[in-house]
Amino acid sequence: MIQAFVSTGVSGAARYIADTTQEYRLHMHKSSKFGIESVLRADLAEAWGECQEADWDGYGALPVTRAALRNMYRFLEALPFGCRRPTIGADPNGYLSVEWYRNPKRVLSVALSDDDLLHYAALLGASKVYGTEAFYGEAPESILDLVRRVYS
Amino acid sequence: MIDPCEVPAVEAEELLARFIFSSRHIRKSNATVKPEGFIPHLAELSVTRHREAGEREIWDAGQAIASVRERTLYGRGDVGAHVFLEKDLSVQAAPVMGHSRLPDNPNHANVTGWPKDDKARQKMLAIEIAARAKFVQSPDS
Repeated sequence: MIQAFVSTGVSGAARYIADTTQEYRLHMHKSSKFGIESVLRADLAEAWGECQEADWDGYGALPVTRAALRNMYRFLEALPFGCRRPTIGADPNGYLSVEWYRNPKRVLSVALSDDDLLHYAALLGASKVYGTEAFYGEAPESILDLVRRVYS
Repeated sequence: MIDPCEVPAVEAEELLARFIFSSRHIRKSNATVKPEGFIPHLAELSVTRHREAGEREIWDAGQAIASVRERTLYGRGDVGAHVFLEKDLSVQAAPVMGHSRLPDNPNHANVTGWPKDDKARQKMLAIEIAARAKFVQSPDS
């Protein structure tokens, strides 16, 4: 997969490159061939439609908010081109989640909370990895690495 | 179903059913239960014991909840009590009888002991449990 460009530079040139790259990535994401737009956007809208009311799971789940929907959309847009397409889910805390699934023993699940925290867990054969990362508009390398490991 | 006057403690070899009322908790690709189906909203995960219950009685218990909550019963995730116990979770018999808003279910149990305020660890446990669960589609869906 092609890694998203991340710049921490502060010069005008660095900012120009970062802005241009971000614009290009957003443009590419609107493409039906490369982007998240075609299938994932519909899946995301469908998930929100199913889970926007309290108790959507029959066990008292919190509703998925518009903020959660917006945040997950940003996260999906931040995924690099060529990244395997996840499926969309929701958990009872009202968080939207994404899952990369190869089989029951190779799976990664990531939930994005309203306070911009990515809670992730992965089962990779005999290995288990879980943790929390802040989401600043870029998909964390630790999570992208786990996506690769699910399919490796 | 279990005699509500004599409810035994949950044993490790018992089979437990987690009813699935959201299609988001089922993988369409291979009809398996997603981890989110095993994440508790608060401190407890609600399950129904197979013990002393026939197949039709189990489905009736799920359908009764679906009716009260106005949800569709898509199926259930069957998993052994020992799977929860191996993860240092507890399974406690919690029969529901005479509740004003829930149907009677003497086979009801709660899975407790989930890590508090650690969403990632909860998710990890749910992935491991879901990996060992068997999805059974509702005959009525």
